[in-house]
Amino acid sequence: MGKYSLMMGSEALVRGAIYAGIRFYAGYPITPATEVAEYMAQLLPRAGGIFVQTEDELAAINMAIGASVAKWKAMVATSGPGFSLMQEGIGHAINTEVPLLIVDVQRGGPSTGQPTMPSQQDVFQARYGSHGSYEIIVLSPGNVQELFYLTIDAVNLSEQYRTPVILLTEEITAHLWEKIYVPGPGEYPVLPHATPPTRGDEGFLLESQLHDERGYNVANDPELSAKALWRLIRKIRDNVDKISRIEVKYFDDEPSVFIASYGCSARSALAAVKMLRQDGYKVGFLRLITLWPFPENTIRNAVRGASTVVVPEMNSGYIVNEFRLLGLNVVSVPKLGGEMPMPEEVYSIVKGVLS
Amino acid sequence: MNPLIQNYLRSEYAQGKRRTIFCPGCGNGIILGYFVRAIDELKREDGFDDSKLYIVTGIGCSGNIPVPLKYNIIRALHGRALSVATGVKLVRPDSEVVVFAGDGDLLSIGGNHLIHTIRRNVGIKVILVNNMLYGMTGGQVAPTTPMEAITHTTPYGNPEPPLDACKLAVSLGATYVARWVVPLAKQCIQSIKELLLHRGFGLLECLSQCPVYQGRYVIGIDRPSKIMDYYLKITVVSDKPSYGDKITIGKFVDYERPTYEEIMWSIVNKAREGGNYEA
Amino acid sequence: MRRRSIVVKIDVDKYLCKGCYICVDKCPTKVFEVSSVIGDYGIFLPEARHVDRCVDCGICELYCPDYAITIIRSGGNEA
Ligand SMILES: Cc1ncc(C[n+]2csc(CCOP(=O)(O)OP(=O)(O)O)c2C)c(N)n1
Ligand code: SF4
Ligand code: SF4
Ligand code: SF4
Ligand SMILES: [Mg+2]
Repeated sequence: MGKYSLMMGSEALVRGAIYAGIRFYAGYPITPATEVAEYMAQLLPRAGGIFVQTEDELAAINMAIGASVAKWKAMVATSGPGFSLMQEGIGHAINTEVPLLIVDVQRGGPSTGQPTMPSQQDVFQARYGSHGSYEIIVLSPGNVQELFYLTIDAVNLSEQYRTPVILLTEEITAHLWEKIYVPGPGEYPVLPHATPPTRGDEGFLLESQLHDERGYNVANDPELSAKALWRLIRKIRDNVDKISRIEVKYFDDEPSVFIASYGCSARSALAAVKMLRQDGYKVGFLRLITLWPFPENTIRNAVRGASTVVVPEMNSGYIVNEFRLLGLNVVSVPKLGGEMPMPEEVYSIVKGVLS
Repeated sequence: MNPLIQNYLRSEYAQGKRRTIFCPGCGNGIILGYFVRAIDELKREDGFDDSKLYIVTGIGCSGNIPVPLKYNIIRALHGRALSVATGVKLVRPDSEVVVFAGDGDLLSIGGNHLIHTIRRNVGIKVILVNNMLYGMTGGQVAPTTPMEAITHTTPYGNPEPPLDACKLAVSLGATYVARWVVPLAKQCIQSIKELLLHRGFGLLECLSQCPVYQGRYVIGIDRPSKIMDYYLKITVVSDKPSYGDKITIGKFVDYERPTYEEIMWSIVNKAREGGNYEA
Repeated sequence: MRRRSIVVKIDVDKYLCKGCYICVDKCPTKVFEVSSVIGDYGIFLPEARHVDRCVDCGICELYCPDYAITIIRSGGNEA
């Protein structure tokens, strides 16, 4: 049996990670991801795991890769500038198929930006930040309870697809205190850790250039290189419908307008939908739980019949483009500066659309 | 194919379907041979268990040295071999973790990790292949290139003084530091053996020839055997590291202090005494 | 410890040899000569023409960067 407990988002994340079997954490302090490191430093050794404060984020992600390859599920957590430093490592883990959890607690702005303020400005960096062609799984929790469960889901997905998975949250959600249910042991599924396979007395070869299934370098062979890269891309792309999830509410009466959002912004979006419905407007609600791979088919089905999708998000208008690519009529509600889009703002924009 | 080496090769290399990527006469291939011989001797003399080996490499020609071997091999990103190796060593303290990295990899882009890995005394054994420049990218200046030397990015002479990796390592508290040079086969093999048996962080810097770039441009000799002779001329055995017109070679330090993995695991064990974690 | 053995042949792998001639230059008794046989890398292969002069020092094997050299001994190999 599990139990109910009041906790901060960062603690829920840490407890979710330990529940999921994470036993190695490496990180460098950065606001607003520092609490994740501090809870980890407290709790991980008691779970028999190892916490390291590294010399920088480059060391952090590469140490985590080493730990994951050798034995244990491993993770890193960071924000803005640190997330930029980790990008090369993310691509490395993708290419060498190392399961890994990467948490980005988003703060605002390029450069040192807005250290203490939330944002959703890294949604494209999470998808495209490392060089080269690749696919990646990115999850976006909407509340503290979901931070707990999505952390476990992220670790499970990384093991199932042998690839790094990004948990993309925001300062607001990571610092939010909510009552959550913490399941007991065995109550929530957890996959075993996958380390690279060896053959007989022949050890593994993790090649950072493009390689065949046994690790032999094929980077100078166009055909084999293409094959190697397509395999990595397809293992995610061909499974979008299995990997990616959305939450849809207020769709039974086939609303002509949907408010679609994710993470903390989705809370305002939901509040706006409720306000609009109270005032008699038929408006639907859609929340992306998985940002990437973008769940095209599921979304198309969910908003079938709607003419317009309104997308509030805490950046200059990023995810809205994905809805536009689906051929939908979109209204972007971008918000910069570190404040959430307010329900009233969204309310009045949608009202304008409807009239 | 030499049968001793063949014994240690990964299948496609052992079957002759793949060959090393090195240029003719490159020191990297010689170091590969030394490494295999050191392991082979240790297995016979001390019952060394090579199944516990994890080899992590940097990016550069020298990072390709262990690739043909049938051990567990992780090719890290350029500069990050020590970080990956630390991760491995922490979660598998009983494993033997060896790093192969070039002078550019370890001392330039990865310099910060070198400092902190030594400070922590992580039980990693580093074989630094110093060919005095960046071989893989085509012969550019490195932190080890002598001052005034001509390389592809210092066509008018290198304006920077070189870094002595061994002096740096000694000053940071590395517990095993040695520098040898490829023509001294016995000393190189002996030092690799000592490194593998050492407890704590160890660094072996191996001066190695890169005939096509370093030979041709930095020292003006391109016949591999002649570069080896040149190396013997500019090196002198000593118990103190120095990297100038004369480069000192030899074993500079060899002692023990508690290792990072030992300390880390004692912390974990103590934390668990205070009550196991429960969700 | 080595038992007395005689070097009967020194094999150069024509597929592996890259023609660096370290063996030719470094053999203390000049056992090797550059032949006119072309190896897989398009180089003239070294050939152990004077095996009778070999003192079995092992240097050629040790120095060969491409594990192309094998010293073949009679009367048993190393003990
Ligand atoms: C982040 C990054 N920057 C640059 C490179 C290109 N690069 C590959 S190897 C190398 C230098 C290699 O020099 P060294 O470490 O001395 O190894 P060597 O080839 O001389 O053995 C560089 C700059 C890279 N792979 N990654
Ligand atoms: S470029 Fe230099 S270091 Fe690299 S393989 Fe060729 S000779 Fe060796
Ligand atoms: S040392 Fe080896 S690679 Fe070089 S010439 Fe002799 S046999 Fe060929
Ligand atoms: S073993 Fe020594 S003497 Fe004999 S061929 Fe080789 S290098 Fe020359
Ligand atoms: Mg170099």
